[in-house]
Amino acid sequence: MIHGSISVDISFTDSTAGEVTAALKRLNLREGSEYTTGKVAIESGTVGTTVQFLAYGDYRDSGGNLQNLSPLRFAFRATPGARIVNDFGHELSESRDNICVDNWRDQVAIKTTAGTAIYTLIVYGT
Amino acid sequence: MSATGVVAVDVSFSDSTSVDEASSVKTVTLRNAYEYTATTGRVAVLSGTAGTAVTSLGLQQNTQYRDASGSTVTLNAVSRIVYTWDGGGETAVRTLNVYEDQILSGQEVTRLRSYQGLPAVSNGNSFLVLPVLAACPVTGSYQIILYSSQ
Repeated sequence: MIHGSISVDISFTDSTAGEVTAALKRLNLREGSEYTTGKVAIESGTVGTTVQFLAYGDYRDSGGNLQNLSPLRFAFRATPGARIVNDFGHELSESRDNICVDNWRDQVAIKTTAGTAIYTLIVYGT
Repeated sequence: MSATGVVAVDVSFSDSTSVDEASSVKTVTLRNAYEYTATTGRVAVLSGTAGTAVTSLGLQQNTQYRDASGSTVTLNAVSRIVYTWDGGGETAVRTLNVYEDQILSGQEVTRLRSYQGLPAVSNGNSFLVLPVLAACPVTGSYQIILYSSQ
């Protein structure tokens, strides 16, 4: 049984102060999705400039059973930085020591533009 | 002028199995909240509706974003991009192509995908950027947030 959530919470304040005036713009974007069905896999390791395809198509669930996962969303963090690419070689989202979230349904791979990076990738799918 | 803020992402899943007297649980979490405090920071919101054709969102003109005082400013070093698209159904997926240095070819491009308002969050390469919505079979609404450190 799966239970989980992916939440994104963004808040910015843009302010300008004059001599006797002040102006303020605020923006927020909040979204939280809860999941009670599906499959989730985690991958972590070290990657370099060579495209490294990820093996989350075959992972073991909590019961130890081998599962195949069709991705719907992923969350990804790489330090100092790396980029997700799809199986067409197209460059998708990029992490520079921050978590990225994306909604691709392709099998994805990972690479750096220079040097090596450590990464953690969580894939949610069916 | 100063734009400060935070981008927080929280991912948490538990996968449990119970068989007779035995049970097992796998838990995966990934959490990160990054605070933007640069006094030179700028943040822009692009939102609206888009038809089915390829749609350039035109920020390359750098005249669309106005700061809190109403002055136009340029986003010179975009380092965070957030994108949502809602075209109705789950299959109404739309890709946002973000071209760095505002050049449609020969430059690095970040591709983000959204449907039903699910946000995609990526880091930029601290460049001027040009966001372009790819073609899509349906019309819908989009929101894009760009943070620039200068």
